[in-house]
Amino acid sequence: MIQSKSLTKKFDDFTALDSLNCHIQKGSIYGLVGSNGSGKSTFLRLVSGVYRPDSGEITVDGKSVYENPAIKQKIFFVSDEPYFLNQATMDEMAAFYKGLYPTFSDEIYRKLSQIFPIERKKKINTFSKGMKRQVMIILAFACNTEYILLDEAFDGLDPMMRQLLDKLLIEKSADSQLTVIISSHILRELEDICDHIGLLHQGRIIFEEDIDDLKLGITKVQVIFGQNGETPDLSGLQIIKKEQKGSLYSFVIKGKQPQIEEYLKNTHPVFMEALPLTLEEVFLTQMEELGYEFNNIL
Amino acid sequence: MVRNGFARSKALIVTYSVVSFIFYPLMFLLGLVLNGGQSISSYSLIFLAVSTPTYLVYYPMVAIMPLVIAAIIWGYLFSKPAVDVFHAMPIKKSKLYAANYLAGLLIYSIPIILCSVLAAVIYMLWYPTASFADGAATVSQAEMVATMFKQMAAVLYTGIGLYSLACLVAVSTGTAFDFVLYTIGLSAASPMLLFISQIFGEGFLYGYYSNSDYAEIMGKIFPTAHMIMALADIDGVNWIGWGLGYLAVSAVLVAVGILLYNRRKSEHSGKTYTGSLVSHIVKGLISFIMGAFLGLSLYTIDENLFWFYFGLVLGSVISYFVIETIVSRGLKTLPKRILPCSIIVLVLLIFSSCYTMDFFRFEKFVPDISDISVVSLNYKTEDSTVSEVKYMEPEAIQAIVDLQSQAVEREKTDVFQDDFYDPENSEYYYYQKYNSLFSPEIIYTLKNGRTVKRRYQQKFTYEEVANLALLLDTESYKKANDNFADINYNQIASLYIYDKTQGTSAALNYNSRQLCELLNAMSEDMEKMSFKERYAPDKPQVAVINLQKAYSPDYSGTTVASKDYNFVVYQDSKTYKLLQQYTKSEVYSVDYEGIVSVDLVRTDSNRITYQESQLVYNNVYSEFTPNITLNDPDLIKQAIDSAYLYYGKEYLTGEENGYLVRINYGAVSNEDKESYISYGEEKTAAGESFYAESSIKGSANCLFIPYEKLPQSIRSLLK
Repeated sequence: MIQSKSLTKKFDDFTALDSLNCHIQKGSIYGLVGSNGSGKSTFLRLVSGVYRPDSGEITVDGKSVYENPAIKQKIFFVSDEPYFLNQATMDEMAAFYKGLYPTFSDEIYRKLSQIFPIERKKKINTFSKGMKRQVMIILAFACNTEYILLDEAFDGLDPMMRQLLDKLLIEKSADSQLTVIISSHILRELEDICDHIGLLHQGRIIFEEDIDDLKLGITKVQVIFGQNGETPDLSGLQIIKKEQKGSLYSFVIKGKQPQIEEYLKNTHPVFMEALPLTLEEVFLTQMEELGYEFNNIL
Repeated sequence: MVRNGFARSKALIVTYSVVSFIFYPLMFLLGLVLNGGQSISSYSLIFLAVSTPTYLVYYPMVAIMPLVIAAIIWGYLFSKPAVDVFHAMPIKKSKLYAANYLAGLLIYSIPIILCSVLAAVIYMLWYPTASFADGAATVSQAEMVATMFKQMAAVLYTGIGLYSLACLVAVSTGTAFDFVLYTIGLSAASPMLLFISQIFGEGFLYGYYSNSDYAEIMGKIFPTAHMIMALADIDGVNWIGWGLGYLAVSAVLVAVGILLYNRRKSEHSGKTYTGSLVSHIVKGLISFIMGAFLGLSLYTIDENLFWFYFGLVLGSVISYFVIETIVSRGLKTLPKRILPCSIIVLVLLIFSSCYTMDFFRFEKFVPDISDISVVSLNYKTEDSTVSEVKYMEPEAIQAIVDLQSQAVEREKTDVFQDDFYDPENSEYYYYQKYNSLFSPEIIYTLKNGRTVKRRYQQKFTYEEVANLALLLDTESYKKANDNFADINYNQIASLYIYDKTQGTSAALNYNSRQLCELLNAMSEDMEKMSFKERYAPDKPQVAVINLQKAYSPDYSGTTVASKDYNFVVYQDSKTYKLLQQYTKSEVYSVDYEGIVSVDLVRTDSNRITYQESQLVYNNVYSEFTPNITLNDPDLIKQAIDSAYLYYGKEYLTGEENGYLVRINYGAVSNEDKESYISYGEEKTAAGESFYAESSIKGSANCLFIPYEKLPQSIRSLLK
């Protein structure tokens, strides 16, 4: 479990994180969402022990991370800008990490090296951006740690590799209780993989929720009403958003789907259908409810 | 992690090792081969410099390698992505520092050690039984190899010192540029501070003086300079003491480096930041230098302390903020640096005030006689310095302590107030109460081991200086200057005899038995003579023996004379009896026929002339119109026969009243003629000149006839 309490980090006069509180369950795949400069990378560096907090605390399994090798051995951090030793090959980098992480698994390393199309004995500095990222992902999994922190993990990966990564993360998380934090500013990247989401804005997490719970509480419905298209009384519903295109109404309503459908049936609509919500739509509704302008955040 | 350090420096290790091998042991072997099999007596890395192009490559490489290695080992600190990897690793920063440090240390040291061992093996194989017996000393192969390893040790400990400093700087900076700048700045810090301390001492502390020791120390605390000095002359460096010192300082630097690394923020990587301790120190140092320079410059205007402090503060503040602006690439950080700048200026003010206000009571300190173990009194004459005499006799110590006490009392005395100019005499006549040329250096060694040094200029009257003559009769002085008893016959590099005018000379080619006898005779005679008898007697002398004692041979096998002894021979001495036995008198007799004329120049205590010092007679020789010139051969002979030889410039005269005898031999060299013409008189006649070469240049002796000893025939000619 990763927990932060009143976590603050400043760079000169700029406050990157401002009394940030969060709670990340063990075994979850946590999506950390925020615009550029919102503090995502800073948070990940604090979790991995690269930065020291200015105030507050960040703990992993109840213990402080900074200058704590025992805890750091459980964490593997993949930065947004991967770094490799000068003129090193993937095998040499694997040897480097093997010396540091006692949980390093040669078996996983070999297996992944076969799955990803990467030449192990070729110098990494000759690889493309996407290939370098694949190398980091292979090494991250090979280290077999309990926590993996991925900063902009999908940047540079082609769609096939993204799917592969998604699959790996989900499988690993299910099998061995791997906890993953993925940061991104693109909601769509996280939609299929994360089970928890946190929104970072101006140094604070303004929104943190299980995605399923999030979706359960909101229903999107398209309706065509009868009675000459006049809108019936819908005061019994908590309508968050309403759109109209001709006689077709689209509502985003707070509440569980069965109850909302039951209510609408009583208005004798000509047509009614419940639609799945995208993560973006969920966020949109949540942000508006909280009083934020969505476009200002992402 | 140590292995990781090697892995990161792979290319450097290969290059460094290969270049070291080529330009050290391999080039050494080449040098031996090209030397044609002749014995080399001067192995050292200097030999490599002389015989091969090694000096172009190996020395500079070894000198800068500590910085290069540190830059590569710690290079990750200058890159944000790299820092993310290294600081996310499950390893404590202290351990990471130690591992990186060790890796760099091994990278630097191992090639040097291996190459030195290889060169030593090559040397021993090439010269299996080498020894160089030339003269009095034998240098064995073991000694040669030992020299090789001593120099290797010097290279190692200076390199380790510089490397340790570079590591500390690396963890305190964010960019490679700052790293290089601060490392160079800090390594020059201690010699610069010492230099400024000396300048302050010379400028503000009465009695303070700096000498070549400080310059040597400044060089030795600067690692690169120390390395060069050690390579040039390892025996001139206390390599064990300095080595231990450098290693101790390195250990401290490592400890401080670990501390700083623990506090270092990862977010500083890849950008310059001016808030680190190292940054403050370097800025403080540069500000101090600039402030001190401006302060001292203004102080020289009218020696007003206000201007000194004004310049110090102004110079240091402006320098500080200029450096801050340059290093932080802008003005944004200036407001934050007001406090650190103020602290630095305050420290500078306190430091400077220690000198200007004499906080440590330097100026008034005169040691108690009971605390003094031994004291040296060194003073300069025109051409020589009387030094290396450590007085232990109570009366000598008392005399020197009294001398210093007088100087301390006279700190504020206007030493020119009693001087006057006598226009009735020649323009050269100017009366001075205080001896302007006597500037003694007093060095006390106290019983607690402390050394106290002072120097005073123009603070002593001629009488006070003359009273120091008692020092010259002490056993300490004799032992230091004229101790023939310590010389073995086989240590004599050369032996010459001169007539008392030094007009003729010849080598004394004695065999070993005769040399022993001569040395014994001279020792016995010297033992009986007082200083006055040796150098300013009241009886004529016969000759002067000049002996040069041999130093140990250097590694080239030649013998170098180390010390020059001059011994004046009297007619009633044992030495003279020996000379009569083994050497014809013509060899050391005065050649009167070679003398063209003799000038007599009057001198007495009432006529203290311009630039005349009672220590020096040479100026009188060359600068003044004689009272009489004797051309008659008989008169010439009478004058010379009556004259006493005052040998050496060390003699402190009292109130000699008589005539200096200036001998003119004939044609003078062009250089001497120029010297003569510069005084404004042209007295050349065809083929003649009026000054003997030795007279113009200043010889080590003078001939003097006391007035009462002047022959009547000459006296009658004088007005």
